[in-house]
Amino acid sequence: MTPLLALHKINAGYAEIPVLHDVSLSLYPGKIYALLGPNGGGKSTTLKVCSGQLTPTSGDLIIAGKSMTKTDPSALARAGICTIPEGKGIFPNLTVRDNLIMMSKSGIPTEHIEEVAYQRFTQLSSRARQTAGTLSGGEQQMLAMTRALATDPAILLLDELSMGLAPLIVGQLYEIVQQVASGGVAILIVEQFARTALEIADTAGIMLNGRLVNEGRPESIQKGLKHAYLG
Amino acid sequence: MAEFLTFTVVGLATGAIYSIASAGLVVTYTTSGIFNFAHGAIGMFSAFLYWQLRWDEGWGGFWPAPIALAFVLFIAAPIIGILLQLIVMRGLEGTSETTKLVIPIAVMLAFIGITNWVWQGAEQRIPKPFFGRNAKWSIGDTYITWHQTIIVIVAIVLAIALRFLLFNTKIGVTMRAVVDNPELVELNGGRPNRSAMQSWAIGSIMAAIAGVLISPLLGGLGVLALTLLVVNAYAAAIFGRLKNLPLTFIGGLVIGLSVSYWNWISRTGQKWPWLSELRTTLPIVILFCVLLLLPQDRLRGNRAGSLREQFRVPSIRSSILWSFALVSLVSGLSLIITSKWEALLTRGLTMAIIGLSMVLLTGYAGELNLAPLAFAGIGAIAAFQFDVGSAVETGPGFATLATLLAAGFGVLVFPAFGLFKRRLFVAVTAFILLVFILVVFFDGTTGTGIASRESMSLSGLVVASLITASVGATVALPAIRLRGLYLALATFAFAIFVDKMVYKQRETLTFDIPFVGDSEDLSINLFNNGALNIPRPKFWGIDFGEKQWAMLIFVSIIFCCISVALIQLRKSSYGRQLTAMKDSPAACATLGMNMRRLKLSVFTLAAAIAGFGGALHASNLRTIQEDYPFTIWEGLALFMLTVVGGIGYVSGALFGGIIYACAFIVMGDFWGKLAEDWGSFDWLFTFLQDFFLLLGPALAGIGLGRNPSGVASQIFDGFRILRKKENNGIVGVGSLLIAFSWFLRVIDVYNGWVFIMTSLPILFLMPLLGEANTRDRDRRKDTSIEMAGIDFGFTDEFISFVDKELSIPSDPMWKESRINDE
Repeated sequence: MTPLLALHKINAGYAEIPVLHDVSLSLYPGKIYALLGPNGGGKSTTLKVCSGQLTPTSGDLIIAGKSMTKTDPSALARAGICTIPEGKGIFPNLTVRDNLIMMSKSGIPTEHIEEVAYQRFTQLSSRARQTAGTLSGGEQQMLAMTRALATDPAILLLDELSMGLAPLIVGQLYEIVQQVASGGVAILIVEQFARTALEIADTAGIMLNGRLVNEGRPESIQKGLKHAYLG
Repeated sequence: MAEFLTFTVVGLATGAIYSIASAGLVVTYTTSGIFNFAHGAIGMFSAFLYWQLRWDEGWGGFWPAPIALAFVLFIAAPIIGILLQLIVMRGLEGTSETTKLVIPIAVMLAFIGITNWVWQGAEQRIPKPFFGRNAKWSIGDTYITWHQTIIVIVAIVLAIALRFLLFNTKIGVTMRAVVDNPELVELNGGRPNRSAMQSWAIGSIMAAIAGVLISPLLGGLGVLALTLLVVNAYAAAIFGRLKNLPLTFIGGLVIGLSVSYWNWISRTGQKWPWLSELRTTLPIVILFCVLLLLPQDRLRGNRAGSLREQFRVPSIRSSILWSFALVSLVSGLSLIITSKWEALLTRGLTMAIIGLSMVLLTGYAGELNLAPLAFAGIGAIAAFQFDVGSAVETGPGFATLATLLAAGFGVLVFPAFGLFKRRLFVAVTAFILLVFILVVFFDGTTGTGIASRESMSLSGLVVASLITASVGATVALPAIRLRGLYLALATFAFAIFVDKMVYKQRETLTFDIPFVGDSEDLSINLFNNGALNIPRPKFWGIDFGEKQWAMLIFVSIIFCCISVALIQLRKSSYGRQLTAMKDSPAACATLGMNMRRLKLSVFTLAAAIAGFGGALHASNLRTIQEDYPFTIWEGLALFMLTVVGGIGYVSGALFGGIIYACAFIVMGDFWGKLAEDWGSFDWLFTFLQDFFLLLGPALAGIGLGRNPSGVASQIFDGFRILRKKENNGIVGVGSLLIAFSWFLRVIDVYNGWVFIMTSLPILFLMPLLGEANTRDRDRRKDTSIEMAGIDFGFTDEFISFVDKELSIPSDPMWKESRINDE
């Protein structure tokens, strides 16, 4: 099976400081890849390379077999890569409804998007006209998810989905991630808190100091985790 | 009733125009986060363009109305908007509020400059209303022109269309989303830059519509009048808190109607002559009031390191050294330059003193003030009234006033320096005594001589700054809870108010103090028929009126004293509090700082400096007029140039003042002289002359986006390399050469041009040579410690060096063992 998105020997960094060293990984349709590791390991940087926000210094970003290394994020987004960035996946000053409309692709009627969204998260329907910034943290993340899914993406990149949320809500969100994956979407989850992510992942990788040090089935990764986090 | 209806119709029509203009402002603000100060100027420019195409008898001229309209509104205006976004506004990401404000101001000045340049001459330009003056219909006895009808219809249509665009279409929602989080828009496949361009195009079209519609109501096209008229729309935009379109439209109508009704009640200002200018300032007064009534802004903490502006704090020692350098430089120059240049330079330095008030208020404390010259103007008027004029009786009355002002100043400012209770009391009393002694003993105000005084006294300057300080406190008191853009607009409103109501005031105001004397205890003729004569100072036997060079040196010393004091202030706990307040008001609040007192004190202090500088500036000029030098436009230019220089540095104020007063005039003169000398290239040099005179300041401001910390810091960074020890030789030789060149000029071996042409290159070569020298040295001694044992051996010298660096006592044992090894 060809991967939907593949990183091939990526080196990347900010200004003078190199962060990623020879990172290669592949995302397959319908599969969830959990990228784990302690703070500052390069997880979010990897995700930024996938979404096009950061151009690697060397290496290739391959999407559906085509190299798209230097494509800008908006073009990648239109090609079907959807990103929920860390902690700020919504437009706080727009209403819930505006947030949903914002990303509707032309062709899909907005009513349909709203309908699907409210079915998925019933809480949101009563808040359609509320400003998104006034929602609770969990609701904001739900909105971000809904908004992302409204674009009907082929690849979904999630950065620290669980950050600052109650475990119950995290569970709920991950359930939806699983549902989405079963619809054939390739998913990359970047997480610092490994356990829940490992439960739903098909493949997992551990990043340490900008290198992918371990990759494999979640069960086998679980054993190496303690070592990775505690050194 | 018919009269009421007539005034209502007029009010509705102008109000509708304000609504259109302010809606455009709201669109650009909500979609780009930039308050477009140039909005009014774009409207003004479009009105001129339309007039040119439609009504001018020269080129262009007599296009059919629909074609001219289509060209102005749908080709010229959107292009202006898009270019503005592309060239100027895009560079403003991640800059401070000050920079975000200054650059649109620069654009506004550029438009004013361009329009003045293209449409020169005093020719009357009178645009006619649509369908002519006589096309009207009536309700009862009230006639309504077609022009008015069109205005109202256009406003309604635009209101609905805009609302629909922004809230119900994807383009509109994306535009608003870009303000929130451009990165996320990009991650979702949107193009933030394209959205921003669309919104700027729309905003600019709205400004153009307002400009074209309003110009026939004015009688004739005037650059400043038109720009200011659309400024009235700011008030309407604030009504809607810069985001709510329906409220913005209502705000526009309220303003239009209140101006119209005021005209009705006051019989276009004739009923109460001293309030006659209120009809033009009413919108500004409303703006001020609306700002005050707005719900409190939430305190925000800035993200650390998010801003591109960074200001270092110089040490006291270096600031004193630089002061000496500046004073000796100025003194040296005064020996070799003509009196015209001396006058220009003095003007620059007095302006720089006014600029220092902005360094304190905006640079240190982060409070935006667009009315620096309004305070300076008040200082000048106060100096006139209390030193030269006859507003206040001399003697006890004057002394009492001075003491009261001193007391107020002390109570407002001293607590911020950590003086409380007994120490505060002692400090205030001491200050009052000081002022009292100054006024009574050193000024001899016990007699009745002030009215005919021929020179400015020191106490005149002191009282001028105290009065300005009290005005500053009075303005700051209601505005104290405003921040950022809102505060800037409030001070802008104040500046326009002073422009119209104070400088244009021709009436003698008389006040009756109860139980005292007859019915006219105090009579003030604020602005004596449009010009005030303010004499130069005279003390220690030096007549500053006759000797321009003395005035120049005196002013430079004063500039240095205030600068050093400000730097000391910045380094004190008070200065740290100001910086903390600028960085994060939220954090300050949690620390329990009393920010109200802090703000009030810094406003008062800054106003005092501005007032002092203003009095000095006026005294240097000898005469001030209603339209020079303290108007709002000059104030904006000075503010802008100080920010360009670097608002966080006193040297930024120096740069701003000097450039403002001299540089553009000099450049203009330079090209003008060339034009005279080379007649055949006359057109080119005249072009360049106009270019620098009219557009110079604006272009300098627009260039700021590239280096928001200011030019002064860049220059200082360039010369920093010369402080290294190895470059002492270069500095020595360079200074000697310049001094020699100066000497040759003093003994008239050659003229000023040769001096400039020899000394400037030397000055700018010094840092270059220094850099080359340092690099050379560095390369030769690139012997880092890690390479010990590889690139070079462990010499005794090296070991004792390492020991010293690590503060390890030298170990004889180790040396011994090494000798044994060998």
